[in-house]
Amino acid sequence: MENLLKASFLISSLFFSTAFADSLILSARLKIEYPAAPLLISHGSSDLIIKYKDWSFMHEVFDPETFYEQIDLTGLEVEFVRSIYDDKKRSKLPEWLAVVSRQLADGLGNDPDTVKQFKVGKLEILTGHDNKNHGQIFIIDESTIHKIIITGSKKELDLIAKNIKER
Amino acid sequence: MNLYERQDLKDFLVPLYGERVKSWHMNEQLFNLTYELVAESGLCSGMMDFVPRTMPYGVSPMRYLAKEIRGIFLRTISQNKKQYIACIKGVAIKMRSQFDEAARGL
Repeated sequence: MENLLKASFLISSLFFSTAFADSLILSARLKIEYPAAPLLISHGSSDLIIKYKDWSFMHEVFDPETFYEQIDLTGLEVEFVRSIYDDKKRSKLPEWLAVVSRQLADGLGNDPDTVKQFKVGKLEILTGHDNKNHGQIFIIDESTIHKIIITGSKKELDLIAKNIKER
Repeated sequence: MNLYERQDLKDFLVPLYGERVKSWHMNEQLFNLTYELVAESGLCSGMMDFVPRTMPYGVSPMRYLAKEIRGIFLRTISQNKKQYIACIKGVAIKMRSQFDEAARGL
């Protein structure tokens, strides 16, 4: 009887803790399937934090008008975000903006081996991780750019990145 | 933190994280994260000058720094923020969710 109880507990915990992911719908064609059973979900004025025991991620929409207090990036935001990860794209920006992009890239401190650019359908995904405890994902979804900040390892960054889906 | 220190901290964080910082209650965790942010931004020329001293690993800067030093640190970063904002933005983005979690008591 005891063994039967243990076995059923094991099966149910496996089933409920790892088998299911929840969906976070971010736009008409973008969703993220995130691991089930976070410790908490917190909604701020413009962002959402999903927190687990040892890591968390946050989503917000990149606002080109307010990203920098003194620079309005409207109209330049897509090229600017791409330039953070790509030196060639950076060199095509106006000089002043290339300097800003370089400073941002330096501050992010991404390990070059972790920088990835790929597509999921029409979505363009850019990721990087500093190989310590911070990573970021930008998702270019037509004219909207989604920003996801991960406080956690590269493993967790990859987990979220691979679960970005088109709807 | 006294009222002036809270205001200096808020003044420093608003350009980094936006107007919503104005509604945050400045607490010890936010101070400690700010200290870490400035220390991490060492690549910004001159930024390390603002970090009062090397911190033993794992200690709370808020508790470790003498009150006067803490006040000077906050005043200095607040007064010099415009000079360094672009340079520290990358580190600020990395730490964004930590700041939000601290502000919301998560």
